[in-house]
Amino acid sequence: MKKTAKEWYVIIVGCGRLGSKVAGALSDRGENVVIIDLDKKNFEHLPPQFSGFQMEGDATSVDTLKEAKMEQANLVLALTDDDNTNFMVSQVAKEGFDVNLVISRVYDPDNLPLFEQFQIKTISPMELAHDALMSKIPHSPKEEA
Amino acid sequence: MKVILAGGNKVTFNLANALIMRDLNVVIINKDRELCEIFSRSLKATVIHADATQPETLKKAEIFPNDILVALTPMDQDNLIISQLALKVFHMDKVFTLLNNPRNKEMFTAKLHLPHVISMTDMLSSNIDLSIAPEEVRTVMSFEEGKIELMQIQIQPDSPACNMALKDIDLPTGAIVGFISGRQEPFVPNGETEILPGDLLWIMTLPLLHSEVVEVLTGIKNK
Repeated sequence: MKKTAKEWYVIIVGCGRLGSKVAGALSDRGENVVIIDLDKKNFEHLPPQFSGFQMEGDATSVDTLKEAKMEQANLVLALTDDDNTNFMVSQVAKEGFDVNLVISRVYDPDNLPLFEQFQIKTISPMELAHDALMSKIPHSPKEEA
Repeated sequence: MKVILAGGNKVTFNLANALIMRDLNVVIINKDRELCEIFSRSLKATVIHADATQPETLKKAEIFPNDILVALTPMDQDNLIISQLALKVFHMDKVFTLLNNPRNKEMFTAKLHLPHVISMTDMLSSNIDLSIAPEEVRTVMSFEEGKIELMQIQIQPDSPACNMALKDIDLPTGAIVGFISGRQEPFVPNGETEILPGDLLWIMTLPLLHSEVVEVLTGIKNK
């Protein structure tokens, strides 16, 4: 059963800069990686040593996810540049294919509560950038005094 | 109570029109500015130019839990997020989701539990059936997302069912004659009722049995 698998069978949706980089890193770690993108030109972003599968297809069609054997996956990363697509992929992974761990990129912070309501883990580029930025700005001298 | 139509173009326009005629309060949300201008010029509806997939937009539309929402965009992922926002964040239950890709139907209904999924393909195919059907047969309506069909068959003098008692007609299990009208006031038939020329039979059936029912009553074979 996939639940006891010792390694990740990970499906990554969206082969942009982030998707391709994560795919490369997980494949270097020896995990089984399938990466899906609508446009096969995006696979050019993948590092040359990437040893996973590339699949050209529309992840908003359940057939594509079946073809990627999502029922065997134990990790799904929704990393397209569209929140609505990421939400659909994540919800289908979670409720339709019982994938234990689903992580989605969410651009619009207003969308975060909905993702969380469906137990989808999220990363918010806006919040990450905000936290990184704030940590680089020291408190003003008058406060330290 | 109001009906919120999210996204879509011509279907939205015509649906809005039909709903307004029934004296319903219609709110249209669309992210296409030009369409919004057309809608607000020609319809007695509230038109909001915004993206309905954003929670902020639905807040602006002042949605209440007993309102009706129809997600009509041409993208299933957009209709899904609009529907889930309406269901989970705005606690509505009368939420209708247009399905563009028929392969997603099982997922949307059985796994994601969307209450009302309307498949464009199913609707079109039942309408095409309608246009290739013989003229004495009409599919009037379908219910339960196309799982039950109401059809109307007019009996001709040469129909095989003509002058037979209803109980002697070999209708498949899964189809029932609910009313007969045409020659007289509509009435509920029983087994002894004799089917006469000019009778209009109102039949509830499973869509699967459609052609069998047509064949038994009219003698017309499909294909």
